[in-house]
Formats: sequence, C-alpha cells, structure tokens
Amino acid sequence: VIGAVPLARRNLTRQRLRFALSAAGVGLALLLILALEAIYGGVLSQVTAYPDHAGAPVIVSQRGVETMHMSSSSLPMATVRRVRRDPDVRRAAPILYAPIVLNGRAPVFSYLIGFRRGGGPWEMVKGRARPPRDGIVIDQIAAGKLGVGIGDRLLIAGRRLRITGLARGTFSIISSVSFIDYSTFERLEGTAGSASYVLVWPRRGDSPEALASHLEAAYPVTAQTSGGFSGHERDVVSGMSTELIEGLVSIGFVVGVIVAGLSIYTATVARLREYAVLKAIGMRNRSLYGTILRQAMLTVGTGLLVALALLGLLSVAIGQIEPSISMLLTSGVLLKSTLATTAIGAVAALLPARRVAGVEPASAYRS
Amino acid sequence: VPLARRQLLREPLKLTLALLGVTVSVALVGLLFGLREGIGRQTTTYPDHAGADVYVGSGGTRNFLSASSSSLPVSLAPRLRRVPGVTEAEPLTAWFDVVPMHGMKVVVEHIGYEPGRLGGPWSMLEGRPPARANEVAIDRVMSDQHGLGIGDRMELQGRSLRVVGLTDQTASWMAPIVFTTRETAAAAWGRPRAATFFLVRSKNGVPPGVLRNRLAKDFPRLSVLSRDQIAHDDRVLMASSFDSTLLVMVLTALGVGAVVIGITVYGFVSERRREFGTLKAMGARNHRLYRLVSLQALAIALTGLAGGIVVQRLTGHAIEALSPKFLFVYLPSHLELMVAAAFAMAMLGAIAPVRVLARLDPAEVFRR
Repeated sequence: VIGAVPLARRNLTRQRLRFALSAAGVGLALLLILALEAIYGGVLSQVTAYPDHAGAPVIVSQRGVETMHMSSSSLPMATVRRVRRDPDVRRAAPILYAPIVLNGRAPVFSYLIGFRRGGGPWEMVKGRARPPRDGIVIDQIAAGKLGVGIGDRLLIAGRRLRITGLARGTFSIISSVSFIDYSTFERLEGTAGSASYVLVWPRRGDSPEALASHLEAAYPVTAQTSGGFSGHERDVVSGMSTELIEGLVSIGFVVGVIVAGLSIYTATVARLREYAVLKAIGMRNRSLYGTILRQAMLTVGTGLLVALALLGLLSVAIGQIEPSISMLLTSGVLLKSTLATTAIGAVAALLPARRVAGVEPASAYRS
Repeated sequence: VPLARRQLLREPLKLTLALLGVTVSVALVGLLFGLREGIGRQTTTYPDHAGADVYVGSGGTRNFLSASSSSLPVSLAPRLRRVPGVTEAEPLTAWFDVVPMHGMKVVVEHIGYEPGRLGGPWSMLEGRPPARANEVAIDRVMSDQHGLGIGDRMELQGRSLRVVGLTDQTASWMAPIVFTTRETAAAAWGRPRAATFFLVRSKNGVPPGVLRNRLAKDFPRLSVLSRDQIAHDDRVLMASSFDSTLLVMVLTALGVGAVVIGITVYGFVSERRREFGTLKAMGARNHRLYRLVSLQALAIALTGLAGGIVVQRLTGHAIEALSPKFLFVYLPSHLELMVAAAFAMAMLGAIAPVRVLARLDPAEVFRR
C-alpha cells in the first residue's frame, strides 16, 4: 500500500507555494550556470563570424599567425602575388585587417576589414555591400549603439568615413566587423605594399586541406582551412575565459546545492510526523530515503525546467535590451546541466536523511 | 516574547542553510563587482604605470586598447619634442598578439619601446629590460603559468625571442604585458617606420592638462589624450563588453537570495500556522505579524550580508593566490550595493510568508 502512494510527489505538491519557491530557487541557481554557459556559447559562435562567412575555404596569414581576434598579420604583396599565381589556387583575395574602436554614443570594438574582391559583408540590412572610397559598412547593432545611421560619418584614423551600408550578423559581445574599401584602408593605415590575410579558393574538386598544406609548404605563410582558422579563434577566447567561466559555474553549483538542500530539508522536516507514522506501520529507513531522494529529484528536475523557461525568457529579453549578447545552448551544456542537477538533488537529499532516520515510530502517537 | 528570534533558532540546520544561501548570493554579487573593477584596473595597467602624461595617436583614436589601429610616422618625434613644455616624446609600437604556448593560445599586450626611454617596464623582478632586437621581458605570472624563465625562447609572430627579464605589476586576466624593443615590435607589425602612439612627458612645472591642450592646438589632425582620458575611455570600452552579462548574474544572484529567504521564512510561518492563528485570535494585528516575518527575513539577510562580505574577501584572496592573473578590487560603493542587495533579498523574500499570514483565518486554531 505504501509503495502505491506517490509520497514524494504528494509531499511536494501539498504545499504548492513552498514547492513553487523551491523550484524557483533551484531554477535560479541553475540559471546562473545555464545563462553563463549560453552567453559563453554565443560568444564562441559569434567570434568566428568572419572566417565562417567570408566564403573562402582557405585563409592565408603571416607565418606563425593563426587567428584574427587580438592578432596582427602582415604579408608582403610579393607573397600575395605568388600565392595568387599558384596553379592550385582558383582565386585569391587579399584583405587588410585592424582591430579598431568605433566611437559614438557608446564605444564599439570592431574588426576593420579592407576588401576589394571577396571578404566583404555577407548580409546587408540597408545600403550597399561595397563601400565607395571614404565609405564604411558597419553592423546595424553597432550603428544602434553608436547612435548613427546611413549617411552619418565616423572618425577613423583621422579620416571621416561616411556610413554607406548596414550589415547583419557581424556583431558580438566581443567585437563587431566593419568593412571599407581596400585602398581606403591602405591610405588610412599606411599599409601600402602589404596585406593582412589572403582569402583563397581551391580549384574545383581540390580539397581545402590539401591546398592549405601545399601553400604552407611552398610559401613563407601560415595557411589553414576556414574551419581550422575558426577553431583557433575559439581557442583564443577559451584560453582567456575558461577559468573565469568555470569559477562562476562552480559558484552556481554550490548555490544550487544549498537552495535544493534547504527546500528538501524544509519540506521533509514539516512532515516528520507523517514519516513517524510510516515507520510505525513498518516502512524501512531505506524506503524513506528513497522517498526523500525522489522528492529531491522532483524538485531539482522542476527547477531545471524552470531554469530552461527562464533562459528562454532571458534570451528574448536580452535580444531586445542588449542585442550584442547572443545566447547559444549546446547539447553538451544541457547534458552538463542535467548532470549538475542530478548531483545537486543527490547531495540535497542527504541533508534531511539523518533527521528522518532518527525519527522514533512512537512519536507518531504523541500529541 | 522574542518570537522572531525563537522561531529562527529552533531549526539550526534550516537557519544555517538559509544563511549559507544568502551568504553565497551576497558574496557572488560582491565578487562580480570586485572582478569588474579589477578588470578595469588591469585594462589600464599600461597608461597607469608607463609614466607618460599625454598620448598622441592618429585622429579619432581614443583608446590604448585599439593601439594597433593608430599609425603615425616615427619622424613626428622631433616636431613633438619642439613643443614648449615637452621633455620627452617617444614612439611606441603596441598591439595585442596571440602567442602559441604548449598547445594553448595566449593573448598578450605587446609593447615595443625605445630602450632606455619612456614606455618600458616599470618594475623588474628578475633580469633586465630588453635592449636589443629579438629580446623580450615577460610578466612574472605568465612566466609561472607557462614555465618560461630567463634564457628561454618564446615565439611571437613567427619570430623567436629570448626572454631576458621578468616584470612585475604587468599581469592581467585578459592579456599580460610583454615588452620588446620598438625595432622588434615594428618589424613584427610589418611597419618599421610607423609607431602606434607617441608617449609624451611634460617638463616639471607644466601641468599635463596645459601640455595636452598645447599639443592638441599644434596638431589638430591628431588625437591628443591625457593619461586619465585614455584610461577612462579604455575602462568604458571594457565595461561595455561586460556589464550586460554582469547585470544578468547579479540579478539572478539577487533572485536566489530572495527565494532562499522566502523558503525559510515561509517554512517558519507554515509550520506554525496554529501559533500565528492563536496570535490573531488573541487580537494581534496583521501588521504586527508582518513585522515579525519581515524582521526574520531582515535578520537572515543582514547575517548573510556579514557572512557574504567575509566570504567575498576570502574567496577573492584565494582566487588571486591560486590564479594571480585575476584581480579583485573592492570599492566602498560595492559595499553599498551589497547592503542594497541584502535588503532587496529580505523584502522580496518576505512577500510569500506575508501573503500566507494575510490569508490566515484566526478560527483555524479552534479546528481539529
């Protein structure tokens, strides 16, 4: 009979407000973990926007330079010409690159790309994708933060450039991407006679991996597939942030254990008389522990659902308030959170277990 | 009868858990603010210590963080030195770089300065500042973290550099500072005749503000910034990347603390419905009962606040000891924010139990 009664569920749902508070508490603690991981996931996906969308299967850079984020690369034009003339290369487009700060209502970090044929913006919201001399294409979110629009001017390296286009998909919490004409870049930054990177397309049917290996062997350059380049970009961001993210996630885990432990303990202690009755009619301690463990799992499981719902709401709210933050929840993070939830539930269930074990069956008959 | 205190102390484990929950939440809020300030300080390490009063860059430049987008001819130096009030004007080539190290990618802030002149390392722990091409002085925390010592070699932009010195006060969570000669830096940057900034020092008796204005007037097409301006703009830029995430974390921690208080005080109220019902039946007004639960919530919040401040400091010190690249800086305003957070947790946490009390029927005491 005892086994047929869903004690854990009934214990929890009898006092709905308490259960709601417990689930909300666990949900918020898990949200600390999930939100952080989702923001971090968003950053990792956005930081590779340029290599992912520039369209070139192979990216060539100065020897020893494997990234764009917080990096600098310089290739002599003679090397660029040799790469372009290589029989395995179908097309090669040099680009110039510098990390800059766009200044307006608020400052915005940006990768400034100077391009001629290839490597420009991939999705336009307004205006032209190809900026004229003294023109610039910036991201639409960056424009919002700067408080500028088409036709306005931005001061870059001493020259006022007119905004001639607004792009999409070129903004992240770390940096945006802005585009100017190649020769304008040369004039602004004094980089005539060099390129920062070369975007390279292999001949039809040839593999990007083989071309990258060939170029690296034949010329004094570093050549990578765009996927490899993106992987290195992610490594840079991970290397900078992993310890910080792990530290905050650990705090979220501790908070989760405390909140779940508190709520399970409170719910259990409130039912000590009922547990005494169950013991008096023959229920074993082990079965009682099982009930408490189920209670804990139900609470943290509901907490996880609450956290996911809150994450969805947060994602929508952040999209409205701070569009630079994009949240990406990966299956790995979900799995990690589910494991964390299970661990939190198991630890939380231990707290009231001793109290229940010490309950005397006779206490059920005392007033 | 001290009802609030007695109820709180009757369940020590529950009270301990509640205090732990609030303590951790408050500590998290404090740590996040401390970390934000620490990141801000680390961001401006170079302008704060380099000894220059004024920074001259390309027109439109406002940040040292974006140094590599500023490009000026080295030949500008004599013209700057001729401006009255200038005692030193030295070219500097600076940018961020990614250094491959045992399979990791480490971001560094690469400073190329003229040996023996303004802009070099300000505190040497061991060895000497770089004086020749292909020599490098690295931050001591970076040296510990990556097992690099004097005489070792590190790769920078495809060049092999020999470590000749370890510097102090140059650590950073984001990018530790490494120093080379300007010649080495400019060659790696691919612009041997260009500098990213000129560092200018004023003569004794010439206020830096006056010198800045004088330089701005003489070089209207360039960006002339005081040390405080460039440091301020860098902090604003860095904060713009972090603040939204920080706000999400702080609000969530606040919510957790409020829920912890809510669960605890709600537990006290719901387990003693009969007692509260008796008090109501004896004529106790609702507002007195509300005060009782609010006091309980406040007591938990304030004790949690005290614990949170202690945990915040201890955790901050522990993190700094284990990973010295992190810096936590606590300001009086952070304490104010933590007090405000604790009060907010108490008030939000009291809502659920107050609702229960408001609906409590005095007749309940006579049932059963």
